[in-house]
Amino acid sequence: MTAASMPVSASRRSWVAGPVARVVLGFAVLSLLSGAFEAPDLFSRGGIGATLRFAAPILLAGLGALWAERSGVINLGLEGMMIAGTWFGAWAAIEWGIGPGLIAGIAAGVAFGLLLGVLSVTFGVDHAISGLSLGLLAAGLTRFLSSVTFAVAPGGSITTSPPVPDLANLSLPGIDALLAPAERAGIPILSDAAAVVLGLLTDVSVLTVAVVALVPLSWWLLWRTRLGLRIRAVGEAPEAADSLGVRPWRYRYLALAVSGGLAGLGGVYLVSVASSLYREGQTAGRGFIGLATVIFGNWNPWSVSLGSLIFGFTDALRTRQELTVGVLLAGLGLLLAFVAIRRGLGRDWRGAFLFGVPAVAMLAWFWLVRVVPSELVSFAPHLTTLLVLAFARQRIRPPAALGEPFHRGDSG
Amino acid sequence: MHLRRLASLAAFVATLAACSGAPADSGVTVPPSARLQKIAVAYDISGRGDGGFNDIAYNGAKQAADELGIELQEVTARLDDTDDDRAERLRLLASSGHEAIIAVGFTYAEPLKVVAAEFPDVAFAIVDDGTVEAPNVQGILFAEHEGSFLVGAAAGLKSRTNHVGFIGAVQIPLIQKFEAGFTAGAKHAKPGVEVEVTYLSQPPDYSGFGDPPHGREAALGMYDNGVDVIFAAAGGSGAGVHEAAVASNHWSIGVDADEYVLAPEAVRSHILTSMLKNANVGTYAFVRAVADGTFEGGIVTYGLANGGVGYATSGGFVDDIRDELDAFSADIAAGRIAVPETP
Amino acid sequence: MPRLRGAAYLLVAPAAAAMLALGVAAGILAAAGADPIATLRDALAYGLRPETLVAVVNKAIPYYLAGIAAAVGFHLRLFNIGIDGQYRLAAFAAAVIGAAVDLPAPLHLAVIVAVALAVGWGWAAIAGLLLVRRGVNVVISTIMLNAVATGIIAWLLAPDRLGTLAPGSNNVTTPSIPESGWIPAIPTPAGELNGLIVMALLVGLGYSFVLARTTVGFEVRAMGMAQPAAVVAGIRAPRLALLAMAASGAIAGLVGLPQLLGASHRFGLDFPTGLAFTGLSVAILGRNHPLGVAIGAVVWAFLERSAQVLDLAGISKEIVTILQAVIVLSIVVAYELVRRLRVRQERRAVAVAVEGLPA
Repeated sequence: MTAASMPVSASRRSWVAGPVARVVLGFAVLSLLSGAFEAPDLFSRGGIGATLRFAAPILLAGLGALWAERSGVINLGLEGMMIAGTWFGAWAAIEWGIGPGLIAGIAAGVAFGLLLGVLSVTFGVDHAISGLSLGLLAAGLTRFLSSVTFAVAPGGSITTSPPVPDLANLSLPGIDALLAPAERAGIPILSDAAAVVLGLLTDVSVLTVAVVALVPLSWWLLWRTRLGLRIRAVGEAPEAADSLGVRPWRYRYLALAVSGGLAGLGGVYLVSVASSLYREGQTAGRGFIGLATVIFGNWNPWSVSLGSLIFGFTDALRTRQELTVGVLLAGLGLLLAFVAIRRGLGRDWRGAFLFGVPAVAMLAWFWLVRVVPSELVSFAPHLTTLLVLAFARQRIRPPAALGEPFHRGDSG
Repeated sequence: MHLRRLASLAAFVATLAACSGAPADSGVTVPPSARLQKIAVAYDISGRGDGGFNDIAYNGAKQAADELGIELQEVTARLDDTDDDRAERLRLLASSGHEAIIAVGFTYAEPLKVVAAEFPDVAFAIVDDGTVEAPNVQGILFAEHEGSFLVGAAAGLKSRTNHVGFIGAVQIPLIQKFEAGFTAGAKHAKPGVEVEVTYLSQPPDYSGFGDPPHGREAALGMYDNGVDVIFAAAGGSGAGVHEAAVASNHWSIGVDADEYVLAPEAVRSHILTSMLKNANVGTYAFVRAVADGTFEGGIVTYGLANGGVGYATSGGFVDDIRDELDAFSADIAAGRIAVPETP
Repeated sequence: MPRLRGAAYLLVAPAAAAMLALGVAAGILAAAGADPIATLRDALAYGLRPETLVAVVNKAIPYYLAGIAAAVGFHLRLFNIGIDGQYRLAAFAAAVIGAAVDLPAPLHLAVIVAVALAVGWGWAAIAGLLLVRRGVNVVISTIMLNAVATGIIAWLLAPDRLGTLAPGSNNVTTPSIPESGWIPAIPTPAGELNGLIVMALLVGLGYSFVLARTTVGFEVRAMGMAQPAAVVAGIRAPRLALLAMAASGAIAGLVGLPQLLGASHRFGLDFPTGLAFTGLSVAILGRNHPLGVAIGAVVWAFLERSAQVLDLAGISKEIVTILQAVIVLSIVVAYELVRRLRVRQERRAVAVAVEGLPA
């Protein structure tokens, strides 16, 4: 499914090294722009809170995809696992409280993950078709279950559940008093930075904190433990692993169970934190976006979380205040212009032209119109992800045996 | 229609009826109509159970069916349906003995033009469309803009910040009618009021009708920026808007049904009112007309004048401005206020 | 003789799958409280009526085109999820331009088809370029480009731009294409067959010809079978990937035409969406083979058509969705089981042959 060894034009070392430096630089530019063009909501406490809430379910799907793909299985069933997580999470949470809801949502995801294992590991069914079929299965099953549960419950219907209990919100003590003055002071960059910190550290759901903790945990488990080594080995060279006594099917099942559990947790997040009820179709393609963040993140949990944050941030912007998307456009235009100028200095005229034309178009649009029509704002998160990816100049390298069924002792 | 085809269909229908089980017994008092035996409702992709418009349309048909003691069949469309698929769905209903068929949604317009001509003896109704011209088709339209005008006026009168918001599910003309009426109403009731507008998704991505997280964040964004009343014409995503209203202690306004009654206890205190779109009035009247033999093709528009749209008073939050709202309503019904249909 | 046995195996798999799927379907129907045998019999009776069969073929035409579009990418392991955006954008552009120009019939049609091909080609080429120039995986770029296409169409289709809103209608559409741009239906005793079936057949023939008889086709097959060897042999992988993506997009551009030229003659909010996943499924079911994809498309269309009866029999469409998933899965599982059986038998045959060799 991935053009694995498609040669990428040779990478030149950029002086804007490292993702952290790039994020800080991007923040500073956007902050200055938002100050200059009076788009106050670009970096606000509420906007950052929304970013976290939008990013968390995508991040969970992304981590789920990461676990599966590191073991060599493309998980196109994430959307279905998330759907299962939303329904079972909501149902158990309504019946017995949020704790059992979390367990049920995760368990439902695990069950679907194992089912995917049966299909794609044991039976060697094409990963795409088994995953997509699980999506169909989950959608049909939850609708059927809703008809015998939520549809007859007070305050529910066949598509909507009664309210799901929420989790507590946390704030770092004292941070509000410390930074709130700076947030309101209106100083360029500094006030925005204060707002970002406050958005990240105040009024954050317990579950969001847990989700954030899953990023280092996934990295540690996959790269610093024997279990992780084996899972990755199975994803890179199943035959070699098998010859060393590491049974590929066992680790693929395990990785798929974790993958499903993470996606199921993403479903519970949607019904309890991001909103407070189950609604059919609520996952709205987030599983697929999560899958995209894994490729975006080059099969690495840190970059996966960066991808989901970029998507969540732009999604929050366009949902909360469409005006700010214009500023984002200007920021992207500047980025393109920057690349074009560098290409021009390097006498790469074709590259300069390729980047220069959209740069001029975006900046001109911003200058003349300022407001982006809402039809076009709707794809801001997608376009931003795509453009950032196109400029990231990374060498994409998926696990070598990704998508390959493993049959012990036969080569077909 | 070939004779052979008719015969094979009849045989097929007989087997179908045999396997579909006994019709629901509803304990009727009115004797079954001699003419009308079976009616059907064909939904668009969202189907029944949306807690909103489709359910309301169903309620009217169901009420009529129960009163008449007749069978009600329901079918639902799929996302990748072509006109041909929709036509076949209607054809199947018409050829299996359903004499009154309600198609919900404008996507049935083109298919209905074909099928209505094939079955001149079957009465059809299409909700939200007025383009099918046939003697056996009734187009049921609603003046959503008129009802939205009233809740817009309520929002304008109740806003302390002079800043109100509109959150639409999907940017399509049908939802834009709500927006146009809401904006006009708010500005009419309180000149100088600012109206923020946002849509959750773009067609043909209809996720905006069922995405409470986006509804919630869009509403929080508006409330953070000074809006204090939001009209959520957003189907299932409206639940998220009501939640945001509770979280930031501002007003929200429901749509289609009286959401104060439907919503969970915890959010009722913040639902100012709801824009009512009484689709049941239209579907009920259609079925009764067919049963009584008074059915006529053409377009019927349900507005403020004939109780097709309105505003809800549950909760009593608009009691203090009811006189004003009712005066607006009378003015619109009498044609003294012209409400725009497009933003 | 081995060839004959191979063909037999090819038939065993679908047959086994059909039995399996029927069993599961009956189980689900029974669980849902319906009489499984009677229901299935009715669905089959309905599905096999001549009128329904014509409708099934009509429905299968866009599925087939989408399936071929997907198959073109699959050969190079390119997962073109963007078929959805490609065909919608192409159909939209074709509708706009087809309505704007007035030419004699053959020329008019040629212009419309050319626009659809070009737009699908160009939109997919963006993903292709991003892949070969920037290393952006096509799964991610096409998911994102689908959203972009949706936004662009929504913007252009607004009533004050390229769309119109008839009085009393809630459906924004492009203006209708004049009759010189229609493709007439083929009359049959059981109803009208969409005229675009001819185009679908041509696409299928072209696909199998290019794949079997041309250098590009050989290169594509070589890359699909043994990429490293192919690269060593001098096949330029990036050029081929770009070509495959663009070709996939061009074919995808045709997916909307049966609806546009054969039925609605305009693009509106009611234009069918979501054909991409069907195309991908059909390509996988048909194993990228021109004939296999055709069978897959017809089977899929047949399932969906017959499902309408289930809806009418009071069985909710969600059960139909579950059924669809189960049927697809049982078909692929059956393929795999038969493949394993075959491998085992071949091994035994080899073992017998080796033992039987004179020492």
